[in-house]
Amino acid sequence: MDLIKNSEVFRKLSGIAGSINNPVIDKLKKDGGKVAGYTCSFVPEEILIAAGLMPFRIRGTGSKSADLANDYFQAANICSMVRHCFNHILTGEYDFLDAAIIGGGCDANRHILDNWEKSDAKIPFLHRIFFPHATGDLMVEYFRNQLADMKAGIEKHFGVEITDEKIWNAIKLCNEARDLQKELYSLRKADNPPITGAETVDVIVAGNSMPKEEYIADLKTLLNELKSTKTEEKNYKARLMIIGPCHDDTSMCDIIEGLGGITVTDLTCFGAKIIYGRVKNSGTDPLQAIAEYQVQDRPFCPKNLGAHPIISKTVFENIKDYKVDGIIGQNMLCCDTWGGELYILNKELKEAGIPMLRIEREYIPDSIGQIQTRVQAFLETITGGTQ
Amino acid sequence: MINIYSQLMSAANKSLFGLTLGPQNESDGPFIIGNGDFFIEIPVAFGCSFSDLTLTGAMGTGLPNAAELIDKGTEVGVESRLCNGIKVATYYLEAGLLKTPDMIITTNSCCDAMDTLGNLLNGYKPWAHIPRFNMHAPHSYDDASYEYMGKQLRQAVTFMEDVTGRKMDMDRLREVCIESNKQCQLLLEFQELKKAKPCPAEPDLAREGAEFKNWSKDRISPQVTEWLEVLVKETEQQVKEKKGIDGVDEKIRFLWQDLAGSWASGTLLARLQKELGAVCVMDYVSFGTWTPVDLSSEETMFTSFGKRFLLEDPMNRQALHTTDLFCNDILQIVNDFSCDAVILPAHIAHRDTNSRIKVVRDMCHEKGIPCLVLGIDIWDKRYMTPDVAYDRVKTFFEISGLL
Amino acid sequence: MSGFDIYIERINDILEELKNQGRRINVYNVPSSYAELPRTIPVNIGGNANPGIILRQDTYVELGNPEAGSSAFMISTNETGLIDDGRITLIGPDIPESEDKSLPFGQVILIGGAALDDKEHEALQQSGFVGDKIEGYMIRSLPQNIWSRISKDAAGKGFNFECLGKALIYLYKSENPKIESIEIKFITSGKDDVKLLDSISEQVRKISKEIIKENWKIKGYDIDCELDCSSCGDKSVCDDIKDVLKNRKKKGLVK
Repeated sequence: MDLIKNSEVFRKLSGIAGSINNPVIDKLKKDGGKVAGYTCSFVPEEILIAAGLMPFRIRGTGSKSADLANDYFQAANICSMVRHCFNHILTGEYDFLDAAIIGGGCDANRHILDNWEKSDAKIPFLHRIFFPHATGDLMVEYFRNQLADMKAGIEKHFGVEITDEKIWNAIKLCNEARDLQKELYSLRKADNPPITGAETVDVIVAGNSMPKEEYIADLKTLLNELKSTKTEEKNYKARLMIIGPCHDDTSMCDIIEGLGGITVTDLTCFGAKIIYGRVKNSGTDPLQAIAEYQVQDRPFCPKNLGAHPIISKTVFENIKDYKVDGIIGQNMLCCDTWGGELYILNKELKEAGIPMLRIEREYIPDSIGQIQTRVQAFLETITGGTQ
Repeated sequence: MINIYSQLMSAANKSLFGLTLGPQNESDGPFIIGNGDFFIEIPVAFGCSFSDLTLTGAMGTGLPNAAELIDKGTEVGVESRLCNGIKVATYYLEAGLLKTPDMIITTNSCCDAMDTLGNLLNGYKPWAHIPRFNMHAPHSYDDASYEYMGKQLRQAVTFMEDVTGRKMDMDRLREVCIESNKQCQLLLEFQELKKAKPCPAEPDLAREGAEFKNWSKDRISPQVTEWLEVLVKETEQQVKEKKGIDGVDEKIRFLWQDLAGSWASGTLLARLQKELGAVCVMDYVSFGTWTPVDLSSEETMFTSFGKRFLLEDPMNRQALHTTDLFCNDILQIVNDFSCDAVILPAHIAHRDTNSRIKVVRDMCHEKGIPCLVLGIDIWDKRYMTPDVAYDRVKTFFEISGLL
Repeated sequence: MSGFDIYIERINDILEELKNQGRRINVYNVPSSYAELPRTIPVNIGGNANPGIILRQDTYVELGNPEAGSSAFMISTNETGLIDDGRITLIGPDIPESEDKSLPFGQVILIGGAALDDKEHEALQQSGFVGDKIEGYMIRSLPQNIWSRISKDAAGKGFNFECLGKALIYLYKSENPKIESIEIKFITSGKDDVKLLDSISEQVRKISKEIIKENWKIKGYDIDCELDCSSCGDKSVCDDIKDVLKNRKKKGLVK
């Protein structure tokens, strides 16, 4: 692990993941660049990049309170991630954004746009796209139309032309990033992974928070470092997989890895879900290619009726490929969508004899002690109480 | 006045519970279970039954053993803050209490919780062999969206045909739509009459308008149309005689901008009416906006179905779409029905409503409309009891100068 | 004001087309000064003018039943020259000749005022909710379009589209001082004729929605209260008010 801590490029990526605005964005803005925020993983970065914008995935990193947002979203009943993200918007943390595309995923998320418009928080361009909640040819067509509207809106507001060629180039760029990220993940299949779960989170989250070309260069450097250096032998109790929404910070991994486990893979909104597969990088219609990828190839959100078989298949494949000993299924309180999915998965995993720990938590984990106790007990269960 | 509601409601209850939880009846025809809304005219015309599992669960919370059912639903362990109506539905499902359907049709209608129920239906192992069809209800209401939804409903029909080996008789579907159009016209007429002062009709929430949709074959019948005609005539007579609700001295008219749920109607709202003369003249499920199904062609018919589904089904109307539609409806209702106040029950599991409270509250403030946000659980009165809710509403009326 | 002007021309084109197809057209012109208009209308105009519901049996004619066809919208502009102030155009049958009928109904209100801007848009729209302000005329609660009834009493007093137009002009002008000119067009000649307005009404609705969204700004309300009273900064104020009310009731000062 010392390798990573001494790695300059990792420190850079970790710093970016651990903050909202960062020196890379500062420099970009000073050089006249523009940044577009977005909320859900189905908002295609490809179109934003093709428009000459730097995509930034909105998160609530560093938020200590959601007091302002709680005026707009009923605190007791709305997911804390949405509230903390919106609180950052209200306190000006996202004032550097030139645009925001709200992905109309769950009930709370899609109202970010309505509330943003009514608030005093300024944003030059705000747009919402919706993701179909079922899979089929009609739905691909529906989403392609959503993307076309998004493209037209951006073109009009920014006075740019987003040509097909630009989108194809952006697709190739994003595919390259995904391939490198998949390579990073594959290193964790080893018995002695050179990178922990927490470190992986930082690297992946940084990928949605800085210019793609720079990220690709940094990630290549990091991968070379990881592959060319011998990793120390490590002692860990169990290999775990995290499933659920969000996972844009290291808190869960820190807990697991602090107690002697190691997170070797995940299926989360900010993690493995976004690096899955590749968008077709040639053809006649790049928007169609993106729509097919999002709707048919990668329907991982349990908000998509019919997503469960794919989620389940991916989980079981990961268990085999990454030699997973146990699953941590974590969802935010009030997240009905993932609550249901984890419930179904839990039953399937139980039948297959794979231990799963379910944790309902707040975005800013306020009861760390409790979670630690439960994870510790879970690790003991997996290992039978032995090292 | 004929107590039309109890007749209709007991028929609905018998029909719905018997359908989902009772023994299999050959006469029910093929049986479809869904997580939420479906355009009911389709199964009726097809000669099969449809049950909305969400509604079954919600109605369970109105039974004498509601608390026990809710607690059992919590024990199922899907998600601790899941809507209690859905929790009861999950209990029914996981406990194996439901009749095995012949088909499952799900959509993301209304809310995340109903979606979750759809996922649970799709992931329920004992029914893994049951054919299923998933639809996507877009969060938009324009011609393109209606057409998109209509195409999916047409695909749903094809799915039903493939599973059952039957063919949809389009003429029969037209007949059903004609009857349904008549019923909608009558319900809209009834709605108009509630503008009268004093309000002439008992606002038995969750028993009006949109709830009829889930009666399956029992609803789209000339008998129900006849009942509705009687309801309208009786109410017209009330209006002519300037009569209000029996025993109520109407002082305050308010909008209850949510479902009534399983307990508020008979306790809180009844007490507000009786003791304070505060009449709930409208709630958002009863606010009908149906336009007739366009029968000119199969294409226009299904596009109309799409519009009905997305924009005119009251639950979908208020939950699926943007805040401005929700707010415009509030303003229209307040204006048209001469409401003195708006009560936002803000059911604790309504994520969409609870994401809009500031906007709604501020809009009402701007327009000078007194607005109270309650925060009850419409399915579990233990969360905020009727007495506590009554005190809050009464204080609100007093502070607003209405009492 | 936001981009409505092109639609004024399109509406005029539609009416011209209908005229060329031989539809009957009646045109009425009313004076610019609106104050005297109520005297020229045989029914009452103003708040509470139509206090009751018009029941089915009391209905002389129904307008804009969705089965018959309905389309209604309002457009405003700063270019007052585009609006023929006081002009009321009717294409199709009038009210007196339509007893017991259910007519398709298109209603277009064109408003001009040099000083009008987007901020007035919502108020102008609200003026369209005539509610109980026209005796014998009841609009049903169907969002997005107008579905209305005219009572037998009103018809018996001679209420027609000229009266309806005058009443609308009066209500709009009296409620919105910045309006300089207003023109109203009614179409009752057929469902297909009314449908011609649909393409415009959809665009107008979209633009309206954007304007209203821009206009909705929170005006500095200090609302920090969550549902739970104990977390609200104003709880002590609420408690004091409750005590005051209790005392006043005890003393018989309030009911």
